[in-house]
Amino acid sequence: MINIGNNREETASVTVENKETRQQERRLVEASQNGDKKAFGLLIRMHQKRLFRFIYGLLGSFDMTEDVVQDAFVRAYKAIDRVNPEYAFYPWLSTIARNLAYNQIRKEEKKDSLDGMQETGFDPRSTELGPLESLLNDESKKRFYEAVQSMPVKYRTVFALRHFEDMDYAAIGSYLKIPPGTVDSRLYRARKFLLEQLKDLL
Amino acid sequence: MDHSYFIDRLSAYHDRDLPPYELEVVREHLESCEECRKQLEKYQQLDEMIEKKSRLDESDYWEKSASKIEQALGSTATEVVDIKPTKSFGMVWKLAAVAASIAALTFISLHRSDIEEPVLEHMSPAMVAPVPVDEITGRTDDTLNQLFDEFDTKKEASKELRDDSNLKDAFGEDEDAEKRSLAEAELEFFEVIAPKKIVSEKSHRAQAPSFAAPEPTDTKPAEPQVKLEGIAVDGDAVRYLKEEKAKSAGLGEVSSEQFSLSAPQKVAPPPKAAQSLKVTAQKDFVKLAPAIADSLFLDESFLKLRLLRDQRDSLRSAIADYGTRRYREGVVPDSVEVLKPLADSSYNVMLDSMISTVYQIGLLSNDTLEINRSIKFLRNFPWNTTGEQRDRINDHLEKLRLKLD
Repeated sequence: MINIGNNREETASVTVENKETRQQERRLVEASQNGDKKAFGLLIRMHQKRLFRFIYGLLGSFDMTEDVVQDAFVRAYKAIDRVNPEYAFYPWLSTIARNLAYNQIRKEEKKDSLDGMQETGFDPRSTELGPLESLLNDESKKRFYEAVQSMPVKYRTVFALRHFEDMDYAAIGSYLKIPPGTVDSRLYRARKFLLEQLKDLL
Repeated sequence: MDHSYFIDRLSAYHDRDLPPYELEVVREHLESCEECRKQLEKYQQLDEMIEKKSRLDESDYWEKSASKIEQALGSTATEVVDIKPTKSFGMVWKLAAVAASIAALTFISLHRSDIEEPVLEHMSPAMVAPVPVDEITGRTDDTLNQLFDEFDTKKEASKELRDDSNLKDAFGEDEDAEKRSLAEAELEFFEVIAPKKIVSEKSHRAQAPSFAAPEPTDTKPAEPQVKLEGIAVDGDAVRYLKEEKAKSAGLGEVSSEQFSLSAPQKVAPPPKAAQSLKVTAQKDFVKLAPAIADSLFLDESFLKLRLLRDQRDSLRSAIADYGTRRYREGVVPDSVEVLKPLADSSYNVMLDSMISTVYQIGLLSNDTLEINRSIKFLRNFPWNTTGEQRDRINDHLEKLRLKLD
């Protein structure tokens, strides 16, 4: 019973918060549809951090991420008339960005397989964060991103889709064109790796 | 199953992304295994850590980036852009659309008789050449209608008779003992056996066992045969039923415009001769429940709850079955890859009705335990849900908890 009570409070607060941001977002989307660039600018500021984190998780490169995020917003603005303001804006935006990132991932995967990467074992890749470091004020955050960075792309993509976008195995599988069982095993390895690397941060 | 099997499954268990039967097996194992519990806890900690450590900090970079994007927006003219990643992806959807229409056509041809039959019954006798004849009794609808009236009268009569006998009983008179037991047997049929028959029999012209009543009749229709096809709302169904009853009792004509019915019925209101109760699909049971209950003076919510529970159980096995196959075979076999969107959408429909079924059980039930169970089930909904479904679940949970208070 105690459990139920706690959950109720949680749900209630989340719903209230969601409702407010949803309403705000809806007004912004409607204004953008009427050609208000400033409103769209606010939408950019609302969502760019989350989108950047996700795309960076997929691509692992600052420059590529920057390009994809920018391209995604531009495309979203051009197609804003197709959005139903009743629905949340972010899922639509992230789908555009994800699809833009898709070709990059394919390229990366090919490169990886040419390097003779095996399913097991992790490639000690470059862990330099570059410009991303300026967005991480905390040493532990840098370590986290270094660890994510050092994962091979096939594990990192599954990890990012699951943890940053909350997609289920079937959805991840159909996006990456791999069976859900493979999603499962890749995610298992990615988590195992992170747990080993970041044991002290838990 | 050995321990390493469970260690491998814990990551997926943590995401609740296992087929239901495996979820159950892992859950049982967790109760007895300390090591697995610790591992699961680690995954939870990892989740929290990822959420905290992945947040990007404030920096002037964001403002610069936003203005850069704003500049790139260029002309204010909006246009339709293709956001699909590759061209071949579009092809898959086209193929899927073709496959879906083929599947639909096949379905229609296979179930032609099922689909066409109700359409015929919507039409007035003038539109259907032969007078409809019951397959079982061989009677026309007119004779059925008479029996329907008889049924009502008989039911009332047996009720009165029982009450009467009870009264006599109270005064120590027991001369009608035989009559009374017959009346009680009849009532039991009307109130207990008949409704069960309506639900369980697909045949819309159910036959009743012969009555031990004075009339030497052999077969009779089991219960009021009332046309309910195409009525979407419970309230409408009940009202419609009542008005049909009034009509057949000769209490005057009721205009069909007074209550909303589906389009074909508005154009040609069904003649009272065409009264038949048709149970085509399981979901219709729930719609029909109030009408059946009303006609038999049963507790509406009792019957509805029972139907909902049945629906929940069969949905549960259907979803589990689908999930297991999907998981085992890696989404779907290659040969039917194009049908995947179709399969996915039907899976979602099953989940949708599961959510609303469990919610309605919680709403209708007066049993705290059952409400709690509904809450628990919705909270730990054992299948993947879309964001929309999640929202609905949260909404339902809130309402159920309010009811519990």
